[in-house]
Order: sequence, then structure tokens, then C-alpha cells
Amino acid sequence: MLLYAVVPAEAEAPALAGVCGRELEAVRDSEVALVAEECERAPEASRPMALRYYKIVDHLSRSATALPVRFPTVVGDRDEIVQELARRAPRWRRRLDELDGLAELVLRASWPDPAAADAGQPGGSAYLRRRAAQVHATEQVADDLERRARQVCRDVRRLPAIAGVRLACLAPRTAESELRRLLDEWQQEDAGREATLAGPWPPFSFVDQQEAAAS
Amino acid sequence: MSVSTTTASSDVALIDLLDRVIGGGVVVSGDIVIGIADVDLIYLGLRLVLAPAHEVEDSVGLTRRRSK
Repeated sequence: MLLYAVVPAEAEAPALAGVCGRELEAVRDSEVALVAEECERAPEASRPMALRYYKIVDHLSRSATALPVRFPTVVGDRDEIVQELARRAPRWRRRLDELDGLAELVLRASWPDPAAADAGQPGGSAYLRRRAAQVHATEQVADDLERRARQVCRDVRRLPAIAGVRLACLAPRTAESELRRLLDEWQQEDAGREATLAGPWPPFSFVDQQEAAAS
Repeated sequence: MSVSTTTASSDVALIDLLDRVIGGGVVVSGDIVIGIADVDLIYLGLRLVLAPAHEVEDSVGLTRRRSK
């Protein structure tokens, strides 16, 4: 069975076809339910499938607090879901209460390379100096943006980024405009700075304190 | 210039969304099955295996463009 999200026990599975084209069902514990779909085989981990999964999780999160399950996670049968619920329901219920009314926004920021002027210098030590300057700048920007974001975000996590800084922000859905204003301010303080804001989404990066910290 | 809302930033938002869909979320001790050309490749221990593409590419030095 393909797993979608943990929701409060009283929540209903939406009347939507799942990724595998079947009805969704809510397997319940006294505290929470896991929304799942019977699938003959696991869906491929492709972009279209991931987006179909996301649309269902997003739909769920608009009517109840939802902890999305990492896509694509498949368990053998309902018994495995029941076992998982028995083991983790109290923790999931606490987290659902903590995340009530909150969503995730992801901000990206980039800025001019502080070592661009030295880029033509040959040699290993010049390269290492450039890299040190880049890493230092990244840390400074990340600290600065995190401090600003915490004015509106209940929690902030740094996400991996190939270049620049990426932060996940846990905030009320209504905080989007305020976060956008803070990013506008940061952007206008120096030429060449760019920022983007994505979301709001279900809180993928904040589902569980321990799991989020380890991932 | 305000925080980006262009088509390019929509693409970035989609990438970030997909990154969170497969890189975030509750980790349940099930199997992850990735099918390629009707051959299922079954992975156990999803935390170790399933990661956003850029993390894998960074760690093994792959280029960002792949041929099919």
C-alpha cells in the first residue's frame, strides 16, 4: 500500500483517485489515521507521479493538519500500517497538534561571488582562498537570513543547496506576504542579491523533530 | 526588484517542491520501490538511499544532465 499522510483520526480520506487510480482509505488508530492506497505495484519515483502524490497530500492538508509521508513509501498490507500506528501514534498526534495551522515555505537566496575578482588567479592555494571566502559568505548570509526569517517563522531549517542558501520556514499560511517583504528588504540592501520564495506547502521538512534534524 | 515571481522562479519552486516531496516527510520503515523499464529495484533503508538528485550528484560527481 502506498502511504500519503498522517492525519487526525477524525479526518476523512478525500474522495479522490490515488496515484495508482484506486480509492484512498484512512487506516485509523484512536489518535491518528494514515491515508493510504492499495497499489498492485509501487509507483515509479518520477516527476509526474510525485506531483500526483503531492496534489493529494496538499488536498488533505487543506482540510486537516497532515504529516506527509516521504514519497514513494510502500508497505505490504494494512497490518503493517496498523503496526506502525500502534508504535508511533502518540508522537504523530503530538506533532499534528504542534503543526496545526502551519505550512512550509522555502526561500532561496543568491548573491554575487565575493571571490569573483580573484577567479583568474592560478594555483591550488588561490583556489582554496576563493573557496574559503565563498563558504564564509554563505555562512554569513545563512545566519542573516535565518535571523530575519525567524521574525515570522516558528521554526527554520537549512536545506542543502548547490549554490546560495536554502531555508525551510514553518509559518502560518498567512505569513507569506510578511516573509516576502523581509526578503525584499534583504534583496534591496545590496546589488546582485536575488531571492525566491516557494510555497506554502504541507510541512515536509518539519514532520518530526528527530527525523527532520537527521535528514 | 521584488522577490521573484517569474516563470524561472516557478521552475525553481517546482524543483524545491519535488525536493521536499522525496527528501522530506515522515520516514516509515517500508520499502521503496523504484521501477525502471518494468524492472523493480527494491531498496531497504530509505533514509540511506532516497535523496534529492542534487545531493546524490554532489556526492558521486555526476553531471546534472543525463541521457536516457
